[in-house]
Amino acid sequence: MSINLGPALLKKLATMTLRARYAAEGSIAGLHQSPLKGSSLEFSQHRPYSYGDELKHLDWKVYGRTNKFYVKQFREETNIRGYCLIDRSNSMGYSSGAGRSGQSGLSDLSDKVSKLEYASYLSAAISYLMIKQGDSVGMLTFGGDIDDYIPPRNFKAHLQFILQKLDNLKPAGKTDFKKVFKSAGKQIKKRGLFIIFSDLLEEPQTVIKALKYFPYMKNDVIVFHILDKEEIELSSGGTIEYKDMETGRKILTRPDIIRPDYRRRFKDYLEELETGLRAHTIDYHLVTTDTALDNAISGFMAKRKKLIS
Amino acid sequence: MTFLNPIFLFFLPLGAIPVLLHLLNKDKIKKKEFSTLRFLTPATRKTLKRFKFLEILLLVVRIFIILLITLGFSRPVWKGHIKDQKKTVSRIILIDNSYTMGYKKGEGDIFESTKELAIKTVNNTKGAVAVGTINKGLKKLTLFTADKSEIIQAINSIELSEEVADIPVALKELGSRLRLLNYGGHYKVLLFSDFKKSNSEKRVLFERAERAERAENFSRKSERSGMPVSPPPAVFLIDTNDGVYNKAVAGVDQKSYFTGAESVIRADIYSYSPSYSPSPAGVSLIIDGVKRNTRQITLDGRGPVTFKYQFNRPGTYRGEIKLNAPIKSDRISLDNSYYFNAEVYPRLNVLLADGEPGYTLTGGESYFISKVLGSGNLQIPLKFRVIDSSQLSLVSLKEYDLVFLVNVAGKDIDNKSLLSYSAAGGGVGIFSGDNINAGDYNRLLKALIGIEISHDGVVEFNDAANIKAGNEFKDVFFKRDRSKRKSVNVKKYIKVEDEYSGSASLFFGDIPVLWLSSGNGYRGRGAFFSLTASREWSDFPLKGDYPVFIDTLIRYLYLPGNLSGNLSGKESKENRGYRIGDTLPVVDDPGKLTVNGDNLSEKLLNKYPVAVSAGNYSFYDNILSEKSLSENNFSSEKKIIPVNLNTDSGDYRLEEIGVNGLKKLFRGYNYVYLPYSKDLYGDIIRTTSGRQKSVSFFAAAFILLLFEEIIRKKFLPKKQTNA
Repeated sequence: MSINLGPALLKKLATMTLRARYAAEGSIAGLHQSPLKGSSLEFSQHRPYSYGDELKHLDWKVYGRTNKFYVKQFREETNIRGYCLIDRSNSMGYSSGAGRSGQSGLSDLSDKVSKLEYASYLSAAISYLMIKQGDSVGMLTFGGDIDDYIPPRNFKAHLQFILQKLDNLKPAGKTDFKKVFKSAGKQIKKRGLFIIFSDLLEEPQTVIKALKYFPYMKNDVIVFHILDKEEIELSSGGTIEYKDMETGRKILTRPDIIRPDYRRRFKDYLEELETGLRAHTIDYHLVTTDTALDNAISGFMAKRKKLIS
Repeated sequence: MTFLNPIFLFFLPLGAIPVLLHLLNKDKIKKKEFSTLRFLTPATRKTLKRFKFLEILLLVVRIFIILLITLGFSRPVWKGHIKDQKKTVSRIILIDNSYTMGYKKGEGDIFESTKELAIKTVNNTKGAVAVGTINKGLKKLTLFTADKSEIIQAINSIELSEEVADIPVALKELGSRLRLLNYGGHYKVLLFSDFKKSNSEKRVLFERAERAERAENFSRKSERSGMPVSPPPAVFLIDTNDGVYNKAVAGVDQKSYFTGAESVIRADIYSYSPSYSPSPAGVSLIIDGVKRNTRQITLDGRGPVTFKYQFNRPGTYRGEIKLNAPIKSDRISLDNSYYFNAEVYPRLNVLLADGEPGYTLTGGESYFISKVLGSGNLQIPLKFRVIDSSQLSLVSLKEYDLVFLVNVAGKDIDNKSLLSYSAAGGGVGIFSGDNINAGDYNRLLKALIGIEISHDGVVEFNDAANIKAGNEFKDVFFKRDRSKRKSVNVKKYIKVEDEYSGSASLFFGDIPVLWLSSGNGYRGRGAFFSLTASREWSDFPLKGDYPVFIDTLIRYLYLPGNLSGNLSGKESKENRGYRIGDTLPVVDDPGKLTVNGDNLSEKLLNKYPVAVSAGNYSFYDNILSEKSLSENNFSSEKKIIPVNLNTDSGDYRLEEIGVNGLKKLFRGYNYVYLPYSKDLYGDIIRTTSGRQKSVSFFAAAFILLLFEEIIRKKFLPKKQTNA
């Protein structure tokens, strides 16, 4: 697979901006609000003058009115560090064949798009978006542990590097969120935007527990919960022997018999997961692999904009 | 079981579709990798087996649904009804003898086939049977009897009625009759019917067929007898679609005409109008495509329309009587015309050899005959030449079709030339008059007839010795000895006792054909009738134009009383007042003549209907009454022909009565049985019992469909649904 976002999707992405939810500590000027005050066109607030302040920042108009010295402060805008955390465990290799070819942004994908492939495309699109708006993007892939880490950079050649890595991504290992995110926390010191692509097929509490560290450290966290439609609906028929892709365990059943029960349990799981993540200010997005990529990104952007405003 | 739509049986293999689908989707255990088994629960073996069983059950049900629907469309009919009939005790066989049952198609005869089927049913029946006929209602119902021969005889005696079938009414009457008679127990009512109401077009077709058949019979009779007999009038009933007028051209009275005479072509028109101001119409006579004459009529009843036309050359002409009735929506306009072939014969040459030529110029018999029958009367196709009987030997008799001896005493007759003429096929007539020698005549007759004549024997003027002054006969005997000539069947001896003044005999070859007595009053005519009536025309080896002549003579020379009265120069007893030189009226309807109050036509013509033929409508009345047709059809009164011409309600469908309705009608203990005969009752089965069977098949399929739905929805999980 060679990741090619296609002209239609790129055109769409050109009109989009991904903003951080919290102030970011960037090194260069950018779109995102910085916790520091600096020079900018955008006025922030007045502060009483103190020794050492440059006289050029004194607001003489305020002095004229109040006979007191106030200094004008301006909002500094900076760039952000984005980290794409991609789950490449075995379960992410599942595909029911429900993916849709010919959709905008997924034109070269076959019907049988796996969750990992979908996640790769999604992360590629977001990486492109961020680099385009001057942000730095890094990538971290994980299975049972962190497999690969690419520190964030903001030049276009870096995007190419990320895309190459995504191209060669193969499913492997059994997910261990606790371990992975603990290691990630140690490895990534600076605040930034964490975008996680995973099927999160663990106990919800385990996932929540593993992820809540990041917002606590003032990081902005977005979770793309990537699932196959078949995983949600279980619409197969007949007698089927299922084999777990991560554990290798087998089970014989008839989906048409257990379907109602399955759906109920899966719904409970999703609700618990979403509620728990949102409680820790984690931005949760459920995406199925049959959703066209541009629709998925547009939907995400719309929600994101609403959330920030 | 047979099928009325067997083509649908080709769809029976469709029943294999569920099997194929089942085999294709056979529940093999598929193996699949799945992202996680956290939310899946295993199914037990027992559950799997239960579902497998349900799937097989579903498969069987689906196969049956397809088979039942296919069989339903194939319209199955049970054929074993005759066997079943042996089980029950009493049966009522109802035979629809309404008009439409007489419909014939090709060689098929529905009515006869129906009777055969009914007889077959009787033969296969144990127990008592009653037979009834239905048309407008229940007409006849025999008593229940186990005597099959009696029943079969009753069936055979059933004839077609002209009435329209009304099955519901007939069955209601049957029901009430049974209740009235307090017949208890179980019956099976076997209704044999075409379940068709008579509609006008079918009726016309039927009538045409019937008339054609009758005409054919007549022509056969005519051929046998040598008599030209016009077929009876063909009746064409025309449905005008607006329910206001019915009209018809009944036909023409005769088909044989002569040159040199004014032929009278009489068409009979039927029409009916309930309106106070009946519509005018035109009737045209068209000969060989050229309109010759037109008459105006009003469509208000039956009546003759007379055309006069003179044919100039012998031959066959194509005649047409066309009724131009200005009626809207006349759907059967073609039937406004009646076509016929007019056979035109050359006018006959008759030689009158007069024994008293002195009288001829002033009023003798020859004069009178030539006057009455000759060119003076345009209706008589005879051309006369009068000669002195003494000159008979000088005339070439071959030029004449008939030689009449008038007032020839007997001794003057040139037996030799007359006999040779007769032997060559010439006709000889004798008008004996009052100047005859009985001995000479007997000798002549003996020579002409070729048999012995004596007092004991055969033909004899037996009272020759007692001829009084004036030479009047007192008794005339004509009898023949059976033992001597077996082929001659003399049925009566006729003795004319009253006085008369003249007589005439007519011979063809050696056969005496008729004896015409010109007596005063009607006795002479009695002799005439007795002779003609005593013989079958088929006995006479008549050839050529003579049969035509006889036919014409009978029709036009029917005036003995008038003739005698004028011959004697005095008025007849009846004092009719005719004088020499008068053109006498021609009586063309013998049915109107009576003797001593008796209607001759009824007595004699009914018995020998061939003797007097065309032009006699009362004769047709009799024929038709023998056929149980309504006399009103042919009466001159203005009456509605009892056919429902104004409705086109189509066929009866059993739904109108309904099988259930019939059962209700008979309070549940009788059955209407519709015997199956593919050819005869195919249509009925299609609309009735065939459909009933189909409905039950469809009903069964529907029930199975519900069953399948229940199994699928209640016991089996949904195959695939949206979340």
